[in-house]
Amino acid sequence: MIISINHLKKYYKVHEKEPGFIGSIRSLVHRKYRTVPAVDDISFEIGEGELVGFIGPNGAGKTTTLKCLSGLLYPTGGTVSVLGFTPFERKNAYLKQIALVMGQKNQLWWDLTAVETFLLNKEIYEIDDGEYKKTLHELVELLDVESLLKVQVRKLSLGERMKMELIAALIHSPKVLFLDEPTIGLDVVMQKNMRDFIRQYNEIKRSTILLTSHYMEDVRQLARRVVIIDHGKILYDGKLDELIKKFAKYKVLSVVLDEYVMPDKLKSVGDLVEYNFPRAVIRVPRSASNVAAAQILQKFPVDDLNIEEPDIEDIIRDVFTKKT
Amino acid sequence: MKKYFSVYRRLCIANWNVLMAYRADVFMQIVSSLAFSVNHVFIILLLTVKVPSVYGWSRGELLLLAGVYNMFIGIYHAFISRNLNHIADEIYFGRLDYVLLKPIDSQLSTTIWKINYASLIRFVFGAGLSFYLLHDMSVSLTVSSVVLFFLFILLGMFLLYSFWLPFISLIIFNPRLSNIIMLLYQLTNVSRYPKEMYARLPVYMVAVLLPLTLIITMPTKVLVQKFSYSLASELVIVCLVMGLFARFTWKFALRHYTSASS
Amino acid sequence: MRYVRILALHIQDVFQNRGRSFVYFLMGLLNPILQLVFWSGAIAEGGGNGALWTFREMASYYLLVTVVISFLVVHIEEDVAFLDIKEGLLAKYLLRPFSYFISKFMEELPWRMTHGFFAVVVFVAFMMWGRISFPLVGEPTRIALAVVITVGGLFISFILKMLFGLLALWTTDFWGIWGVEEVVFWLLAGIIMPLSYYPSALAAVAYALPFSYIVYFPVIAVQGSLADIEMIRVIGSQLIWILALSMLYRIVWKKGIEKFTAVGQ
Repeated sequence: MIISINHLKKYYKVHEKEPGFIGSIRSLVHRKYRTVPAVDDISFEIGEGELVGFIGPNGAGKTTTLKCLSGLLYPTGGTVSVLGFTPFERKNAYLKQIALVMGQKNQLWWDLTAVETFLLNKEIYEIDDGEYKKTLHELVELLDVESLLKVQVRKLSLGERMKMELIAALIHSPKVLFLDEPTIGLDVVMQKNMRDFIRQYNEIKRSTILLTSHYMEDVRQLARRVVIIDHGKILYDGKLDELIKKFAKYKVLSVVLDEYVMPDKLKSVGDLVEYNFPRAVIRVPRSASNVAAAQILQKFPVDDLNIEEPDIEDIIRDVFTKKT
Repeated sequence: MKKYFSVYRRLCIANWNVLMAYRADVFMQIVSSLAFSVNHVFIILLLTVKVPSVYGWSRGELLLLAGVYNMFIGIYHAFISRNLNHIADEIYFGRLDYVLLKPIDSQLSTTIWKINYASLIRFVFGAGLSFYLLHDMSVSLTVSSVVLFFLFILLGMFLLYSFWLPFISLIIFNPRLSNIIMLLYQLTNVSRYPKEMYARLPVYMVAVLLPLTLIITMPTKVLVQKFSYSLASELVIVCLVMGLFARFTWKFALRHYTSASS
Repeated sequence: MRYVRILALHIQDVFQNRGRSFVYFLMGLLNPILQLVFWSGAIAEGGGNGALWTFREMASYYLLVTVVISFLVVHIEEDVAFLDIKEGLLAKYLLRPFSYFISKFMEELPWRMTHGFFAVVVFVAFMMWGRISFPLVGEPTRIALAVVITVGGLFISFILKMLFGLLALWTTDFWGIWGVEEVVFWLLAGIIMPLSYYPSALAAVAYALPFSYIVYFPVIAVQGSLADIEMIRVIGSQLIWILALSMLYRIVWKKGIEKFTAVGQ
């Protein structure tokens, strides 16, 4: 296994202060602390070449986990192993094989062209000239940024800057890539470009990728396996379609009617989510979906009927809010 | 070793390119640096209007001290202090991450990352002033005194850096104290005055300020041929102790770096 | 009432940053103390040309300089130039139904109060530890005049620094300007040494500029070194500076806002 996490814990001590001036004075004399378990005993493994989606609500522990894996943070407990190294020892041999890309942070020199940062990273990662030129060429082509190489970073748009950040992070061809919300703040076109790039990079380089994102489309398009974390604990670790089967207690029947039917009659079959003649959307228990479909076909004038899985976003939202 | 030379060469080029990207700003930066240098000389002239000699230093020697200080601080601000300032900001805003992810010693990379070429004007000013004063005082320079002078300048720079770094490391524990870097700029002013001035202070204050009192006094005394082995060995010992302490505090502090949240 | 509430919130914010505030205070303390140590040696060695103050007078001067710097020397120009203008935070102020000038004053005042508090503690501690009684202004009318001079110094300091900060609207590199401003201020405000020690030509320049009305004159007013008529003259000069700087501020603000474009994040 490339990545191996065993009972990882990371706790923070936070100071609690009551609001108002009195609270400020009180905290001078008597400080109240609370331990926050950012990551609370999690374990999982990732094999070579896997692209895993790591999802959770804000404050779930995703970024903390990524930082423990990349060696930025010292775990409070448990063990972490990446490529056979202990990340927090931050050995050069380890750092040369990983990359962490954080969507909202940058390493490019603001006042120079991106190429200056690439050249600097070339020296830091001790990449020889031939390999540097080849990798740069590949990445520039994949991301289609040839025309931007000579533009000052401060003059690039957010999407263009993200592409350059990716190149800076990947110029040393890391074996393991940690992507922390790489598509945040990008428009839909740029998000798609990013996803295509990540997918192609994973396929061509066989690099192991752990990706966090708030956008379900990122997960849907890229990850076959997802790990869901909330309040520092793993809620699910497995294939994306298994997630649907495990957590989705219902299916969605999408119906196109030939003639108008009273909503009350449709409600007799299941939960009428939406009705805009001729289209109706009905939610039924998973186990009863076939029976419900047969009922609809028998009772009503149907032009078209589809049995669909619920939207992944709805399922995950339910997981987070513990409706399942 | 070769890797660090290549990295440093690349950093010199990148920083030069940053300077050239904003040529109009360079003029203001040079003017500002010169203003501080001239101000320093002015202060000594003003202070010695009524007292031409103090603590065994004549006005000329105090001005020479100012010249050496400007040479020293010009190089220090060009190559070192700006980086420590930068680290303070990076810690405060939780942006040290990318530094720590690079396969390069974090203390070294944070120390050499930025270069402020405009500050070198202070070195030029200080060198010019020092040469003029030495000529005026009819002090002749020998090869050995020049070599010794630059050796003590380098040691002084290492000492000042080792004095600053533990304070910067403190910021990791309390990011709100990022303004401590500005206090350090002010504290460095201690070295503008002769070491003998601080003998009047309580022992505990002298102990804390000792590194700062040595860094300029020592090389200046070499120039005016008042070099003493005891003072030199004091400087070397303090350098060693401070250097080790600085390294230890930096490594210790990094273990507690928590980074900003996403 | 809302001004009081807003000020109270800013006071609370500064209280949360008391460590940071203390570091800022130490920065203001350092140079006057260095100057004082210099002079203590100079005085002990008997001095040179002309009469020197006694150590007691010098100590009083430099400690009062520390108190005055802490209370009156404002640093709002860095916030204005770097955060508000360069980072574009000025936009949020412009969207509020509240004067930018008063907002910044409310933000700055608690810092002055905190630093001033630290400075007064140091001043009193020095008096008690050294068992020295410092020369201070005595009679009620003269105390009142000294207070007016001090308040005048604060207003001049604030308006001047706001003007410096707004210069960032027209420059790309504010640090260069800031450096020159710092040097000129320290040279001409009376922080290095009493302006009466300066060569006469330089002293005349210092008296003609606003910087001496921020530090030097408040210090010697509190020391009781100014006659009544001189105090009134100083107050008159401060009023003229406050008026002139206020008018200049209005013009610069109007022109500046026309130029301002919020920076994209």
